[in-house]
Amino acid sequence: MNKISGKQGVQIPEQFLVTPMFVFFIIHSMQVGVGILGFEGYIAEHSGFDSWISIIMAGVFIHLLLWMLYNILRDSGGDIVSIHRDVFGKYIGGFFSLILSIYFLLLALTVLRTFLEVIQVWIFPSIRIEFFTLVFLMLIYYLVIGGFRLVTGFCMISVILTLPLLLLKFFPIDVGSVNYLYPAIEHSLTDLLKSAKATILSFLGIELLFVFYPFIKHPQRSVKWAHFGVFFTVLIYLATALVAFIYYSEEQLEHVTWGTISLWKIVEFPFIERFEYIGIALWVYVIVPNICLAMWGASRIPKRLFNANQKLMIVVYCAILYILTLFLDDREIVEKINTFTSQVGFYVLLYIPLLFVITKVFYKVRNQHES
Amino acid sequence: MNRKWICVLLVIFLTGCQQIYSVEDRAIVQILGYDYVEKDVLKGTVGIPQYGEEEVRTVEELNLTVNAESLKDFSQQVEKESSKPLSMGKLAVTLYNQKLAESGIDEFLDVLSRDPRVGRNIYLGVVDGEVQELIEGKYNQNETTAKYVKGIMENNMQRNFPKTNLHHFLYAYYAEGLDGFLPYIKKRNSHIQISGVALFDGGKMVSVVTDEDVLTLKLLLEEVKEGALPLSPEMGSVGMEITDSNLKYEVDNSKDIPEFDIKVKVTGFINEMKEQELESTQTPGLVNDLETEFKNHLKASADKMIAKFQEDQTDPLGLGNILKNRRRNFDKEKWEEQYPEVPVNVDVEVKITGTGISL
Repeated sequence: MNKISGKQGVQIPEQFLVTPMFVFFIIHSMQVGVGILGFEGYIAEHSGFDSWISIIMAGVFIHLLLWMLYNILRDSGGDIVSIHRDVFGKYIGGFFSLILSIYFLLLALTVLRTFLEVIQVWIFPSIRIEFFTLVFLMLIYYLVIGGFRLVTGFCMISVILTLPLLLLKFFPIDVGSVNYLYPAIEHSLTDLLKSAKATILSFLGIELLFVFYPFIKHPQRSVKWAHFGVFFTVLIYLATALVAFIYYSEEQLEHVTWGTISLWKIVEFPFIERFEYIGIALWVYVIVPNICLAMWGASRIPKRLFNANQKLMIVVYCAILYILTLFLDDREIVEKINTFTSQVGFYVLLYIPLLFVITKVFYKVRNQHES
Repeated sequence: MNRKWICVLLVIFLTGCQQIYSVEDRAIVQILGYDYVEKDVLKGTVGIPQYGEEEVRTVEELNLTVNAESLKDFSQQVEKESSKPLSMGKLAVTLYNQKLAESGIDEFLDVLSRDPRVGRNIYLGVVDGEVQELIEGKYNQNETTAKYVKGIMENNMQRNFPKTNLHHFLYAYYAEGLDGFLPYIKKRNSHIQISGVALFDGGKMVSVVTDEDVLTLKLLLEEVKEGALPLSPEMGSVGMEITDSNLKYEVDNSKDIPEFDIKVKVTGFINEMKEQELESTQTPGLVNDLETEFKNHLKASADKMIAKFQEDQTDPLGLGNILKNRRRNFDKEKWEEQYPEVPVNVDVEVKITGTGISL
């Protein structure tokens, strides 16, 4: 550890650290959430069947940001709170950190509310959300107070458990037609970029690295795992989108709200006629670690800022989530929240290059000054 | 520890908050059909299986028919006559009578595609005649009408009939430059029979492909793995069993009016031959003759059919969609104007691999 990081004092006792490999699971399960259930329609809106190119574009962009993230964190040796304090001072920096905390809460809210919407639309139209959310949040609370290592473990289970769902893509490929999917790049770069921006919501999540970086045992060794995680996400999105393009016609996609779930509908086994019920139920394993990570990140920041009790913060944040979930209760609002979060997330991602430049200059000046 | 247990108990009890539906208490709709009565009035018929006592093992079908002004009105009307709440999850077949199909089934498609409880693999069909009569009819098979109709469609789509179901139809319905088609079925005495393919332009039925051309249509749409192709009895009737087929669409984009080349390659063996003027089956030249004969037959049938499609402005082959995918700046209106005059060359190749085990 160099001199600078020693001063910031973000030292986590070894028993709370995770091995670098787990960064793969954390990054991947933070990225894949509810977005993948219905992103096909959003991205095809601007550039139709060509939008698989946008996914690759967005993926490259995310890889670049991840590289910057690691650079920032390596230079400072701490986490986002200490970086903000160093660069912007105690109050302004603290304010920025707090915004990030609220942003993570917003992510959790979006995922939770959208998933509840899925349950309402697809399985139980008359479900009492107030009870369901309560039980769900109790589970979240229970997992998050278990600490970062527990959440990480859950991420791994989630990735492994839901991986077989990819095999189901066989059914739509079997039914669909490749004849109409010919790579004619007829959309302009602007259209492709618009689609790439629409994909961003599905890729959000790498910013959590700002918070959990000190929890990685040999942080710089995790770089390749983090990139591998992002790459895996890109691959899965690409496969999902291509399968949807094979199965749906271009104009039909605009009429489908939940592309991936509708794909599960045609999966038929002798013992089960409607696979989407199982798919949605299994998806809880994707949603839970996703929300847990966001909640953990959100509650970790106040702890670092004001030395607040993290358990108390989790309770407070869960309560906020609960109340907000009850208020946001129709399709249109859920749609709006998703768009809003996507917008905010986009700016948060754009903030990374900005911070990259600022920290580069800042630490350079400081090092020169000190020597 | 105590608190943990309370949580567990809470989870168990909270599941009771959801209303439970038992199978016995639901009227499970398996078949649904609509008839055209007059403008804005339709007649709907639902078929609900009534399962008898275990020892008797009979399946009766309860059919409810009501007149309604709209679809929403229809489900309310049926609900009034049903002793149990209707359940759409097992719906297998939806039928429309020809007149209704000709006036457009957009509204019905919208309802089907919106409902998460309805599967995507259900069959749609157009009925020549009254749907009510078809659903209420008693058939020899000891099964419900729904199962009977579903069986007919499943079986035929394995062999000679082009694949179509709700998903396929919706795919074509929404796509630009592609039109859907549905099985055209008819009640004949105590049987139901597929008598052709009903072609649509958007949500409106425009024409019918008759029975003898159905297999040609299938060959133009997908790869056929099994199917029977009989040949006209000029030179004695010959039956060919198709074992494989290949399909390739090509577009010549260079000109203003695109030109399509469809290459079909059929492989099969002869499984029936009634000799009349045929000298001997051993002549090696005969197989070649038969190949040419089949080839000419398929090509004539395809050309005739495509000319009819162009005349009726319906595009079940999806030529427009193929063009759209391979040409930049596809102009839909221009394409629709061009469509009737677009040259479509069908090139058929037939290969007979065997003549069975006897000579």
